[in-house]
Amino acid sequence: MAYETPPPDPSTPPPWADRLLEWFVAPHLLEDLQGDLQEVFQKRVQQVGLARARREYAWAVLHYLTPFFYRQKSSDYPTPALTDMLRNYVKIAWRNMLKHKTFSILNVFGLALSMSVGLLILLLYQDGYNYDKFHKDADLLYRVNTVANRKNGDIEPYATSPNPIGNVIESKFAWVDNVATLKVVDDVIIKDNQRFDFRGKATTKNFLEIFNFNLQRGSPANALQEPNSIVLTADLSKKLFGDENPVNKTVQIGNRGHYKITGILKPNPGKTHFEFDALLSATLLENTTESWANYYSTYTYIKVKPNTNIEQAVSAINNEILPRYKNLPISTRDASYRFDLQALPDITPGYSIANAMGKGLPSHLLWFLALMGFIVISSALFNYTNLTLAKSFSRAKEIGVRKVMGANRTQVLSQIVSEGIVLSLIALLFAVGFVMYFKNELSELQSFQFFDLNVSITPSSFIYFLVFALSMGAIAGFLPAITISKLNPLAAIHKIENLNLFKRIGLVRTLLVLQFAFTMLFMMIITTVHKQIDFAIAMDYGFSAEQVYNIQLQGVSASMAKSKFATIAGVERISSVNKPIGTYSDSPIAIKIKKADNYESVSSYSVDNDFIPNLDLTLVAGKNFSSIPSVNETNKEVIVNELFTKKYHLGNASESIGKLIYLNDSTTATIKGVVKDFLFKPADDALEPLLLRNNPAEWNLLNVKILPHSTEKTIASLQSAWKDIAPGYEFRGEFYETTIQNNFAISKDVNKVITFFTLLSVLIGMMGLLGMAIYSVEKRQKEISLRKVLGATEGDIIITLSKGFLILLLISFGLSIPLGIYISGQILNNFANRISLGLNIILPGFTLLSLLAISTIFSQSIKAALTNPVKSLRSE
Amino acid sequence: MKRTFLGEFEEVVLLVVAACTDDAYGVIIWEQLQEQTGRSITISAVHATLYRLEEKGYLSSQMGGATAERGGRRKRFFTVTALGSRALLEIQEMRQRLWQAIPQGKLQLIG
Repeated sequence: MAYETPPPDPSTPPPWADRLLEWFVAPHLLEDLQGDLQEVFQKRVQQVGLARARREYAWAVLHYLTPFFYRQKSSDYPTPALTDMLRNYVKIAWRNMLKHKTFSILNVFGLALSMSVGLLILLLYQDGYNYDKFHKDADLLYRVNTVANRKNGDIEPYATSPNPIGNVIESKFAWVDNVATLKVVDDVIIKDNQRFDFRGKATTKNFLEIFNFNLQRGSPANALQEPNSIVLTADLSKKLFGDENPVNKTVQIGNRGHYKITGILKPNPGKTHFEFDALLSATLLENTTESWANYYSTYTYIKVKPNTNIEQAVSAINNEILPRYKNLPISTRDASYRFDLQALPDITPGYSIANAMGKGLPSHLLWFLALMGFIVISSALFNYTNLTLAKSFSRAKEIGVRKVMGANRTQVLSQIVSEGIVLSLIALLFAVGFVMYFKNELSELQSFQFFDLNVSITPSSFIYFLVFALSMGAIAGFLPAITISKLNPLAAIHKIENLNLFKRIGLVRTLLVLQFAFTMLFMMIITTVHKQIDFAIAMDYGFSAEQVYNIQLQGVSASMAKSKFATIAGVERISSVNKPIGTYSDSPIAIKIKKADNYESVSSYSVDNDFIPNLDLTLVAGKNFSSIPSVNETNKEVIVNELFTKKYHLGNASESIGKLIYLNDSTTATIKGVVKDFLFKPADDALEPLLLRNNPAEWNLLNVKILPHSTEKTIASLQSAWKDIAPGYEFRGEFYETTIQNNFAISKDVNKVITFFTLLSVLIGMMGLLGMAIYSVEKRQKEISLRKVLGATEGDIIITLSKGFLILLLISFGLSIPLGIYISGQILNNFANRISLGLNIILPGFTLLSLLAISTIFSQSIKAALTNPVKSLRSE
Repeated sequence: MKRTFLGEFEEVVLLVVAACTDDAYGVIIWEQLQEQTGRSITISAVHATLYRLEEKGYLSSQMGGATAERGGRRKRFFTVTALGSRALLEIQEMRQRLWQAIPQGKLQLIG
């Protein structure tokens, strides 16, 4: 027979209705109210039967589901509210802090240091994500980017695009609302014989329609309408005209003629990726209308209509534009192009892109910083966890008592978490102090200005700070809390020895090892980068930059300046060149050896006859350029390096003299000389073929070799001579060695930042280790005394105490060194000329960390070993 | 004179509590109310009104004995407070005044 569930008690109301009532109705009303209902129910059972009574009961219950019955009674007694509990937690946390002063100081200091790093990164993020916030409809604005696929397989995105693309997009697509094209016009304004450089963009009124750059004088509709109009930014206007109103005045712009000032822009309401001092009317755009191959001097911005599908828009643009390239000349090093739309908010911070207009930290640098910060913060959190767990041995009783008194696991957990929060709030006070200090240090970095960073603390930052500190405290507290709150109260109170504490020791050990491994990794990376930069700067480039002072000509005739400077007493020799060799700037030229070949790009500089002797270069074969280049020589004769002759199979140096090369800007040229190989790019680039030409029109830089004794005086004379040579022009000169060192300015800054992080993590790691050492010695004081009494020597005891830590240290070295070698190798792979990997990378970090760690551990072990055993054994 | 704000239903409930000969609690009051007014009233309305009158100070209550049919739950007995009786008296007085103010013969049209 099937087993049946017994029928419910015949005379009870439906249980669900009761449960509903009990759940819903305020407790102080429930008893009599439910009693009344049940009394009525019992009467109704007699009167109308069970089923109907039940229905009525349920129906009646439903009537109680109103706010009136739900509302809780305001009690006459103080409610045991959350605040009281919190107050108690804070009090206990405070007492615990005072009880373990050393640990608390180590924790607060470590947390504060790492927190200040976190806060700084937070400020950088706040600054970095503050670009272009003032344009209306920002989500409809896009920049057209060109993605160039190189012949060698590289893919390089450009922020610029071919000049005509804007017109095509505007005329062909219905989903386009507006298009603005900006052509780069960096030139100089000449006013009263004074020259003012400016960064200009030639554009149309569309630009002012799309973007919220407002005019304080002039009308946006007409300002860029007339040919030869110029709109100045407030800054440039102030620089040129002071406080007077310059509208309708004319200024001369380089060789472009006179321009009428038609408007003054208001200062930007916020940060923007756009970078210009003046906007010029777009007549300049029309000159290059058909140059599809030039994708590096025009920016195209479009505003789309709402609800446009951007993926479809991109493919529509590519389908429209790419066929046009079939019959067009294409740049020699490119295989093909693709066009992409980048949304305005994604531009800054965004991915690295060539020809990026504005500054601002690239997003990958922000992520890198965040990662570094994360590692340093984790290290401090590990410290906290380790020290708290260590302390928990002595607190096991307290936790046990709490549990016996009725605290559940959540309460113990939240108590320990609250200790973390209290500590991190105290740390926040110190951290804000550290931030103020680090902020100033940071602002001194060159790249800080380069990326136009400004870290300022606004009231909203403080809210971020507080949230940050609270969450850090919560995480710090949570890690040890989960372990501690698991404690079995009976075991904790009764037999502390039997506790399964070794599991926690395992966690502590893992965290210590991780911490040291990370620190060692950092140490290896900074050693690598530091050594590589030093190596690159000190490397023999094959030319001599010693005592050479570079002066930029800014368009002044080189031969004239050269002849004037040559008369100065301290000047040994002067040579002319178009761009400084040994830097990243480059002026490639397209060449081929046979008529049937394809053109290939080769690095090229234009130099004069003094260049080779002045920089101590050696001619292997052939002749130098002549002192006064003939027209024939200017176009038809070149000097190449040895690698060039090898790469293009021209035979040995003397065999290649007189051979023909096809240049794409003139028909043919003959090789006049071969120069010994030297590095004309920074050390991260490999040696490449080189072609030197002798075109006076290109010379833009003088290398002035100065006699060693009166360097300062000679430079002063150069400066005063410059005033006669080029009145109104600023004197721009620096030592060649400075120029070369500046190649590495950004790398140096990055390394400084990493060094800073490394030092922090070393410091934090050592504090953690110190805490652990203090703790373990304290814990084992009796054992040590007994060992001593039984005849152990001081040395035995020091070894016993230190052994565990030293093994951990070795494990972390074992983990980090292979990884560090791998990462350093990856970093060095970016450099063509690089240091070798080996002990040189490992030793500095290894030595420093071992010394610090061993002295930290020994300091405690020795102290313990030297204590008189009677002191600790006497009591108890 | 301080005005007494009592709704019609509140006034009736208050009167029923005052008129109860036995100890007045929810079920009794509910039954009395239905009997006196002839209306069908949900018990939740009665409860809500009783508690509200108590909050206003017209009624006071204390918990009394439990019976088996209530599942062992105690009853809440309501008594009219001094404030409650004054309110009832004021209302009655005001009604009285108004009744007396009615001119002779006017109500006969209706009656």
